[in-house]
Order: sequence, then C-alpha cells, then structure tokens
Amino acid sequence: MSISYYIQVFVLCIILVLGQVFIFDLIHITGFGKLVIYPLLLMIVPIHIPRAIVMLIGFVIGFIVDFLLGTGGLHTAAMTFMAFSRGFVLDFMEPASGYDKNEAATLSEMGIRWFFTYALILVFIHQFAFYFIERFSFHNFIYTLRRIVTGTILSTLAISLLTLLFTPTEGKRKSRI
Amino acid sequence: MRNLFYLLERFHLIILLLILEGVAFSSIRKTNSYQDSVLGNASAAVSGKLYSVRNNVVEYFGLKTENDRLARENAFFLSLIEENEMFVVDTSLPYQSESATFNYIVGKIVDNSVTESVNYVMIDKGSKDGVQKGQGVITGRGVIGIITHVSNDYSMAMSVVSTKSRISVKHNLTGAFGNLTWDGSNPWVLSIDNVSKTNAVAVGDTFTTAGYSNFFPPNIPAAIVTSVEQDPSTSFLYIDVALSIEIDKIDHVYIVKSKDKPQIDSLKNLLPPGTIN
Repeated sequence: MSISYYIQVFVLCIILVLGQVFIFDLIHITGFGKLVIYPLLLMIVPIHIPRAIVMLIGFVIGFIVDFLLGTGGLHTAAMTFMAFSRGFVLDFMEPASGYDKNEAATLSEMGIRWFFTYALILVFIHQFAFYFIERFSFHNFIYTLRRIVTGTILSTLAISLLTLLFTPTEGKRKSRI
Repeated sequence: MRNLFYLLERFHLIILLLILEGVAFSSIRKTNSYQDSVLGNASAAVSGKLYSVRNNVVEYFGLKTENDRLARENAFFLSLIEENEMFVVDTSLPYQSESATFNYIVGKIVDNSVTESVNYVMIDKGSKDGVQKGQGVITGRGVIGIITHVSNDYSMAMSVVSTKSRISVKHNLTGAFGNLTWDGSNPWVLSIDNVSKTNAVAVGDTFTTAGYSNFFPPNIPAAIVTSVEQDPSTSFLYIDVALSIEIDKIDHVYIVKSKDKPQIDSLKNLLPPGTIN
C-alpha cells in the first residue's frame, strides 16, 4: 500500500463524514429514511484485512459521526453491527474464482453488479440496525420498515454514485464497467 | 486452558461485537432519555426480582431496629391524630379513601444507593399496584424521592440525594419557599436555594414539603438546617441541610398517589414552559 493510497483514503474519510454531517443529515423527507453515505468508508476496506480490525474501524467511524452529530451511540452501534456482518456478506458473495489477495471491495475492482448488490445488503443491515435501535420497539413496525427500505434504496444509490466519482485505488485503475 | 484459547479464537468476533455494542449502548443510554427509560424499566423488572430475594434474607438481621423505628413512627402518627382530630381522614397515612386528595401505597425498599451522582431507590410495588411515573415517595418522617421507572412488579425512584432532583420545600416558621437540591459531593449534606436573606432561618429549623407540585402532600418534614451563611453578592442565603431521615436505613415507604395531580399537570401544560415549576 503506497502513501498515495492512504492519502486518498484520508481525503475520502473527510469528504464522506463532513458530507454526512453538513449535507446528507439535513435532508429530511417525511416518512422516508435518512440518506447515509459514510458506510462506504467501511465497504471499501481491503478484503484481506482481519475482521476484528474491520469491526474496530467501523466502531471508530461510527463514533466520529456520533460525536459530530451528537447522537450518543446510535451510529456507532449500527456501524459496528454492519462491520460484523460484512465478513459474512463477503463470504456469501465470494466469486467462484475466490478473491485476489490484495483485492479491495470496490466498484472498479469487482464490477458494478457485484458492488451494487454488496452495497445494498450492507446498507440494509446498517439501516435495519439503526432504526431498530432508534425506535427500540416493534411498535408501529410498518412505519419503521418503510423508513428502513426507503433509506436503504436512497443511500445505496447515493453510495454507488459517490464510489463512481471517487474511489481510492492502488496504482493503475482497472476497468470492469 | 487450551480449550479456553480455542473458544476465544473461535468466537472472538462475537465477543468483540458484544463489547463494542455494549460501549455504544451505554453511550446511547447516557444521551437519549427514551432508550434510557425503556432499558431502565426492563432492568427494574429483572434486578427487582433479584434484589427482593436478597432482601428477604438480609431483612431478618435488621428486624429489631426496623421494629423500633416503626413503633416510633406509629407513636408519631398517633400523636398527629390526636392533634388534628378533625382532619383524620386526610392525614391517616396507610388508609385508602375515595375522598382524600392523597392516597398511599405501602412499599418496601429492595435496593438503595447513595454513592452515585444520581441515586435510585427500588421499591417492590409496580404498575399492577397502581404506581405511576412521577409519584412521590415518602416515609412518615421524610421525603425519599420521585418515581422515575415503573415495571409490572417493581418501580425505581430517583432519590432526593441526586444531582438531578429538585424539590419545592418551605421553611416551617417563616413559610419561605426554596428548592431542595444536592451538589453531588457528600450524601449527608444537601442545600436549599432561592431563600432570600429577609427570612430568619436558624440552625435546627425544619423545611417541609411545599405541596406545590403535588408530588408530595404538604408539611411532610424534609430537611433540617445544619448551617446558614449569608452570601454578600446576592440576596439569597446559603443553607446547608441534612435530610430528616437516614435515607440509607429506610425499609418501608409510602408512595403518594395524588388525585389532583393529573388535573394540575394538564393545566400547567397549557402555560408556556418555564412559567412555574
């Protein structure tokens, strides 16, 4: 991993977290879930990184977002759970040829269909955890479910668009699109 | 030992998940009062059972002193009845009466703390006995706190020895009103603020409940003055008080059901917030 890769990751961190806090968190559509873009940070972590480390990364990202938004531990809890599930999602979506050793779970490496499905599943897990911890009950289940589903669709679209624009890459960009 | 390491290796992700989520949830509880109340009610149900089992055992050791205390309390009530014969219906504590403004539920304390910054008292009566959030908890000789969490069989009251607690009291001689608060340092020293310097308050005087907020009936003794200081820069007195009861040694309490409280609260809700406490 070269220095330029880490700089790109760092810049992406700043863009996504600040974008979440100053732009996407202010968008409220009645009855719809909220747009979240910062889970992208965890999605593109290289595949070979140990899963315990991935969970710690998720915890820290969630903690920073919570700290900036003043939401206590809601994002932390959802992010940690998503980081935990990421390993199983990767197992589930492993191509027949297996993952390359240094492959990152990004759109440019894995192709748009794979990445879209992967993002959809992970964002759904994140939104599911987030809204259930926020509501803390099964009361008015349909309403919560609607927020989860709409939030997932909006966020997945936003994340897919963002990753087309900006993904940290190592060396020359492969194109599978 | 090898099995233990094997187990740790196999389940390290789940263990890490539980630890991290535990941290996240504790911070959710601290900042969001809604989740706090849901978890608080649930934990009141579980720990209440546990504590009452423990209490059943421990209670025997304190039976003698508790008996003494109850006997003294009874004697005090009897003297009250003689003094106020015409008000017997309203002041007789454990009796339930349709016409009385205040009715009382007798409860037993199963857990009690004085060492935190917000202290709770757990009582073995819950919503099935008619306990509701916002009811006051007293003994005949002093104020304990206000119910904050209720489960089916148990309830938790935030004790007056809490930094978040604020109770209206009045001076028994001058009738001056103040707020009984606690600064979080010494559980045996509380203070009363908002009493102006024009009132003659002396060491040894008693502050009783004001009855304003209808959490408590009026004239229940609350605190005894231990020191009074003049603050040269403001027009208020610095009053340090001790509670009129030893809050860590109480066993039986009365939960106050006020018939008028819902009406008073709904009227207060019509006013803009902060107009009266």
